[in-house]
Amino acid sequence: MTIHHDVKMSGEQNKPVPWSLRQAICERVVAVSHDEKLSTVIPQIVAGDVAPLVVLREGEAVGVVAVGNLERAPAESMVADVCSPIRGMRANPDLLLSVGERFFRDGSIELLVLNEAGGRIAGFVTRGSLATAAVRETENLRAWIDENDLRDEPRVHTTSSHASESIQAEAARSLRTPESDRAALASALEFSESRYQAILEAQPECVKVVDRDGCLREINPAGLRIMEADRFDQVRGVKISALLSPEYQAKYQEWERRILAGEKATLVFEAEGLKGTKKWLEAIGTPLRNASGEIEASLSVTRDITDRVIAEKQLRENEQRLRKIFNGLPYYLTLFTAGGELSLVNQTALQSPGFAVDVLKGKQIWETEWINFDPAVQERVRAAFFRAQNGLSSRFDSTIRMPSGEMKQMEITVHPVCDEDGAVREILGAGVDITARVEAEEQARRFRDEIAHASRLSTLGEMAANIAHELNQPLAAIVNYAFSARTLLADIAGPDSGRCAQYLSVVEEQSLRAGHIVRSLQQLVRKTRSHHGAADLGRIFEDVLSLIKSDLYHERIELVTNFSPDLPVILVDSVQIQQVVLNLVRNSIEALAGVDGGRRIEIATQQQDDRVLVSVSDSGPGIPDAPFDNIFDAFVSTKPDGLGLGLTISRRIIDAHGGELWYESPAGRGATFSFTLPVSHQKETDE
Amino acid sequence: MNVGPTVFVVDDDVAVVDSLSTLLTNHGYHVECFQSAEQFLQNVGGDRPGCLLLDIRMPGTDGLELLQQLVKKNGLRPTVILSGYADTPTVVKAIKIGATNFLEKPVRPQELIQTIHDALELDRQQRQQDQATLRSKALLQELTDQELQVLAHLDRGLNNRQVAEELQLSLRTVQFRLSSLYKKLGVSTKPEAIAIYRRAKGLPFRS
Repeated sequence: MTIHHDVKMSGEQNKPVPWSLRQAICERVVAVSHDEKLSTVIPQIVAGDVAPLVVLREGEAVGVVAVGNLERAPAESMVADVCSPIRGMRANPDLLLSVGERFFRDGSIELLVLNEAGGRIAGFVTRGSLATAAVRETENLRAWIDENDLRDEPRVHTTSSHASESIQAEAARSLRTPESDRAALASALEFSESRYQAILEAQPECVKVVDRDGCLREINPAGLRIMEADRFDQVRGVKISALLSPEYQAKYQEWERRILAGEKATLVFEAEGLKGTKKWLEAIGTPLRNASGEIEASLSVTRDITDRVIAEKQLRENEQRLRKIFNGLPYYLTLFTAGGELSLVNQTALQSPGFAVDVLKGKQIWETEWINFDPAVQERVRAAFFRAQNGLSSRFDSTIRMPSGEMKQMEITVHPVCDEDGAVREILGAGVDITARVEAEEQARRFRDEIAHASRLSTLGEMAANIAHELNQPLAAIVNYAFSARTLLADIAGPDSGRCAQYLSVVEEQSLRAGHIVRSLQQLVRKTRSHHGAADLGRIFEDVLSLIKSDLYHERIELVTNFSPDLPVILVDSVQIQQVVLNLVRNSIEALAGVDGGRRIEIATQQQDDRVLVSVSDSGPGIPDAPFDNIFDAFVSTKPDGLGLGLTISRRIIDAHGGELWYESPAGRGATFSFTLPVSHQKETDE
Repeated sequence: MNVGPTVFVVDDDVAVVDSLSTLLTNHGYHVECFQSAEQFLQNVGGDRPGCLLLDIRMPGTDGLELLQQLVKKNGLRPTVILSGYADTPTVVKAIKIGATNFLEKPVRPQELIQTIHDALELDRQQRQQDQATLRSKALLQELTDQELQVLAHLDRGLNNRQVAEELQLSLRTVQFRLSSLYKKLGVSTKPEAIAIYRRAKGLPFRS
């Protein structure tokens, strides 16, 4: 749609034209009509004339708009006076809304149109475009133009005048305006003026005109406030660049130069008000042209953006601070998208020798080599990520494998990062290397255990002394009585006296053995003499087996013996070796307690070079691996009520004899405890 | 009351005391039992032959303290320590104080009987030794100072001439004193006289 505004007016320019006004008119009309001619005509209107503008479309006059100037109004307000009809024609909804209620609430504007005879036509231009507006009036206008024979000469001449009377006179003469219409015109202009005054004053942004020398020519009240001036007089002609912070002066001059060269340009700068307040300002400037189209000044709208700049600066500083913290924390921090893709890594992680972004390429974190060595660890990490995806935080300790193969203990936190609506946007994975701490704790724990163990042993030492004494007293009495009874029996002839004497002898022997065991327990905590002598292993086993025969019977355990027939005599403490064998067999019996059927214990001896090997095997459940680091340690027992001393004592005894004690427990095949004793061991291992 | 050698048993455990008493009595020993060191000290003087079978751990005065007191009173007789708990330092201490033997409870009865037998034999020998010493001391009392002087010099290994020179006597005088002291001591040879002298003085015999 092309609309030509062909406006012709006559008149003298006897006062300076406010550039802002001219510019504003040009800008706005051009914006709609694209008619450059208007820009050369309108300045004349504002010189003080009232000029009817005939609006043409495709060479046809479609409307007439009267614009005028009220001499008594200050120069600044003329913008409003003259602009309003034009603006109305332009029908910019924004501007319309910002003006008075009466005219614009329904989206229309009243135009004052004068006819040839000076008659007033009140037209309504609705929002939208001038074309629409004009068309709606066409009928009237056409009639009016026909009536006034304007078709042949579509130009309307106005004679310039600078007094309101002369405006009216001229209007009357050229437009044959009657007195009553002149009064209406004056009233309309007055109203228009006050309206524009209101607009400018209400305008929250600074609007100012600066001439080619950079001196302030015009400014609105908002501009005065930004400049911290109380009156326009204070700043009239001031060089704007002088108010700027030094570092922006060059930029500002460059910006002005661009505008004066015909560009529209924006600049953000820092300036100081007259009262010394520093402000951040954003100025949008456009060139203002004079009647001949030369750029004579710049019009700029300036906003105080101090709050925004400060806020932005604070935001930036905050972000930098947070970034520094993020990078500087001694934690490995990694940020993932909700889908598990790595998005950010902090310096600590990047600088860690174990970290490489490549490791994560195309993989979820739990699929990486740091984690994937152990399915349990993997599952844990994956679960934590899933929890995070569902908005839940997790924290756990885990082992992580470094590329070097080194294992590190990490305390890992997986935390969801949510947006305002609570939706998980990112997942933060944080790791702290706690290897040293864990090791220290482990060491402290071991140390505590050792102390506890030592103190238990020393307590046991004292206990052993007391127990030994308390047990040995009755044992001594038993031995003595049995012996006495046996002595007496020798004198009594009877059918069973011989067997009684034999039983008493067993009572005696077993009590003595009990005494030995008690003393062996003492030896565990107190090194003392052991009594080595030549011993027959066969004899030792015989004694032990006679002791456990009834146990084996009651427990329905099959005993298999596989003794080598010609074992050499060895130098041992028989009682101690008996104790070892007894311990091992008793352990086997207890291990078989929970086994249904097939309960079997095998005792075997054989010579191996200069050693005798003794082994006790059972068909029990075997020795579990996990919690029992060393079942030969004191107080370690696989039995719920075990004291954990049997194997400890056994091993010490075998060690003291220069032999070895060990066990094998292949899965599902019971347990075998074996010990060796040296054959040619002439030297007594007294301690 | 003369009951012959006695085994004095000191132990606070009634069962132990009674069983020991039964056992030893059955083997023909005369046994007297005491349940504390104090009881034993009050009732038994050092003059009675026999041996002591002593426990270490007892309430009140313990076995080692009793031994020390007996040593102080010169009333120590052969003593067998019979203890339920014997650590090396205790054994060493007991032997140093003067215990004869050390057994651990429960002890094989035969070993106990043998040890008691040995202890009683030792007591018998010691008492015999004591008798001989007393006799020798009494005989020396009979000698004059001059005769004792000659005997002391002989004990140093001098012959008659050397004794005479040493004492600035004539050989005849020495010979006269010798024959007189031989008569008083009831001996006929020089070694016999020297033996009596040494026993009375508590000196060891020369080989």
